[in-house]
Amino acid sequence: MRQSLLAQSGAAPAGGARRPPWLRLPLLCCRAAGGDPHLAEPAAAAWVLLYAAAHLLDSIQDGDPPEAWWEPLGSGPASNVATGLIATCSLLLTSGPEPHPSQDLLIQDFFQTVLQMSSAQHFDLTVPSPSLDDCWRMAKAKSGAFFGLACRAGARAAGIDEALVSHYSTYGVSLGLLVQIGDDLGDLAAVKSGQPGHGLLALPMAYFMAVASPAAREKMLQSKRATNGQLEPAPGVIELLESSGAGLYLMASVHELRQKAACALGLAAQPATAFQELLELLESAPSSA
Amino acid sequence: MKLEQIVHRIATDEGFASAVRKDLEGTLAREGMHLAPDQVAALRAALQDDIELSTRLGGASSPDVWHSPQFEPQTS
Repeated sequence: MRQSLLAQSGAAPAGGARRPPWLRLPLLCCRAAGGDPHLAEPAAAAWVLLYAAAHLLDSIQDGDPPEAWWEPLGSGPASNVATGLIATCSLLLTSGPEPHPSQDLLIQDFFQTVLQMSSAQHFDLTVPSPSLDDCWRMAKAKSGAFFGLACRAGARAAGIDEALVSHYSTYGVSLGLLVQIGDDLGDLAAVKSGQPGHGLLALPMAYFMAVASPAAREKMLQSKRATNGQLEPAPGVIELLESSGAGLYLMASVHELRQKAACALGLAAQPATAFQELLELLESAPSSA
Repeated sequence: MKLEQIVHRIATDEGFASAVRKDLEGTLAREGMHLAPDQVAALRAALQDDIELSTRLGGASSPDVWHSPQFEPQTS
């Protein structure tokens, strides 16, 4: 796995699917911070396993259609696989040839982030109609926290000062939010073109409920009831979202996050190839989830 | 005033939308709408995306932001 992570982004391994470019985030941040990316390998591998575990648990908890590999197993054994992935992540963090100076901090950060993500997921699963501010807080505590962790882990492996690490964290949190927005925009595009979506359009729906008139909100609730709240092609829902300016709002949010991330990166990273790759991730993030 | 409220007014008030597209900062100031400088810059960029998209789509009255090339989902 470590070898494959060091390979260039976008290249498909033999017989495998194309990897999202952000899987190399810890390595890129380590290099941008002036470190040898090999130093970030254990953290990068652990982060990828944590991603796989979180993605699997999220799919099960949201009731998404199962992926082919775990469909015959069912959700119980699949949850058990996720537990194993998290345990392996823990082992990887302590697997280096010799203890890294920031190893304790790295391990603590990993599991504090898992707790933060779990807490936000609990809120997501138990609060039926979160406000727009709630949705942003949840996105920040899930995708944002997860990507922030990757960037902090990579930057710390380079041995830089914690004040500089915080800029990488800001970059990562912003990138995570961009990926979240990309998910929602991808779902909207899919639903509009007649394909099934995979998400609940949390941000655009919360935007709509925050700004729409009571009559428009009622119309939206009726449209959602007509499809049992599922993201099946529901022209009424999409038309209401479009006419409310949800797309413009998400695009403005994309631009705001890109600015914030690029500014943070400029404060910390060395202008080199890795710096440029990290900037390019900001441009592609809304479509790379 | 929050960004979402200003965006909603742009989406639902043609006169306001037209004024904003001509002079974003001036219109916000005249209406007593305050946004942080980074939010003004982000809104200006999003409005520009909107115009470019509308032009590409042949001047459609309702730009199809969901199908902006930068937001097309990728197959993996």
